[in-house]
Amino acid sequence: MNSKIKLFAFVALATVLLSSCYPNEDIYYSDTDVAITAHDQDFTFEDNMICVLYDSVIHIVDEDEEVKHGTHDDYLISELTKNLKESKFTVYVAEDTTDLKNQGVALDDVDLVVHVSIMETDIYYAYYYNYWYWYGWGWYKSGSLKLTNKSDYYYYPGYGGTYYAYSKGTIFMDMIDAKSAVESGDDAVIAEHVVWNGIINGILSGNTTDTRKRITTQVTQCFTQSPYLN
Amino acid sequence: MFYTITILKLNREDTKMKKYIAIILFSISGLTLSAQSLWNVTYDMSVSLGETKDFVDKTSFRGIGIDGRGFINQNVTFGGSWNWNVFYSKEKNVTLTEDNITVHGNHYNYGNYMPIMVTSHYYFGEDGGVRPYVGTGVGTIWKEESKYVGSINALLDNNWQFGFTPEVGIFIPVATSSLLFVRAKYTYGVSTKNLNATSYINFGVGIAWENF
Repeated sequence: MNSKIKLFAFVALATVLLSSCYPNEDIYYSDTDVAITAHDQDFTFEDNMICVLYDSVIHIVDEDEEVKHGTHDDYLISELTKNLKESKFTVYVAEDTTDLKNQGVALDDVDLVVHVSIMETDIYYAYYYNYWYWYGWGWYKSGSLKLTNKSDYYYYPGYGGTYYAYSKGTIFMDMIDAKSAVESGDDAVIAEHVVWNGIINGILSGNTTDTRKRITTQVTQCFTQSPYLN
Repeated sequence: MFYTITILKLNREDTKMKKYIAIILFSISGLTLSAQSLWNVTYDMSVSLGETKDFVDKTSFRGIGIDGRGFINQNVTFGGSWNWNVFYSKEKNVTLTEDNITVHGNHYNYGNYMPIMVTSHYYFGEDGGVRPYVGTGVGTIWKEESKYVGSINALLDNNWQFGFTPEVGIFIPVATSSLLFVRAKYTYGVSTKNLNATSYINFGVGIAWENF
């Protein structure tokens, strides 16, 4: 065999083998779903605590962007409502404080407040710590929160110093100790005590036909892996 | 980037240490000289061991090896080798809890290992016949291990580590200047303060050519 043929065979064989070294496997969107939960271990989740779910989804978007992931808002709220009602709490779903009062619930009696937000910005670094601005009822009537200064919102509430980078389309469910809420000077309420987070990473980033099924699975998973809520 | 490995043929009388050092240096220098040499390409299948097995406990069917060897006498070669072995494992629906945080999702582990070695081998049998051999390589391993939990990159660890690669194999002539090549090679990378040891054995089958 002459040298040119040897060299060609050598390079061809090496190329074929090299190209086979990259792992490639069909991965569905649902294969990449992640459910993350965190809770305050010093907080006691008692039976029949009054828990109020804000009935709208908060979309966190860049200043110059519009809401893109609102298609499944109602479905998300309904799934969260279903799981909360199967938990140990007494659950109310309310549009605002007036709605809550009309349901016969006094604000002072509320123990827990839950709201849902969807991250629609590129990347969201979260460093858990016990602090979170909770904007009171009515602030999110428009259904979105504009990020005028991203750095103000780079820190997501939680515990323990765990650091994650979340994908666009991530769902955040926050449970707040309502007794810790205090008025701030800008018509907002600061809740110093977030007691539970449920996070579903990137689930709304792909427009897939099985998105609702994935929402159901992952919201349920967040509650399944949080036995202290049930 | 893989560099062409140079094979030098030296006279049997050249036994001084500086000659061997020269061989080693030239073997990775990118120069090419025609001589009594063996070049081979192998397909590698690998089985993880030790700490590598702890990370990816699944047999790898993705691997390639290229090496070149030059005879300094009838029975001994010096040369260089390059391998790339890729491990991958998937574990579905894993729930991990640490303190107050619980994470649930599929785990995807990827291990990429690239040993680059200076080698020496001793051959049994006669020139032109079937030639079993034993040998070893000493050099460095590029190691990259990453873990994804769903879409979240939870771990990325990469660095060089010192390593060695003892091996046994056999060359079987199948045509003029062409040989079938089968070998078993153990790859070990020494652990450091921040890096686990690398440990796996691979089984390669390939084709070798004499004297490019």
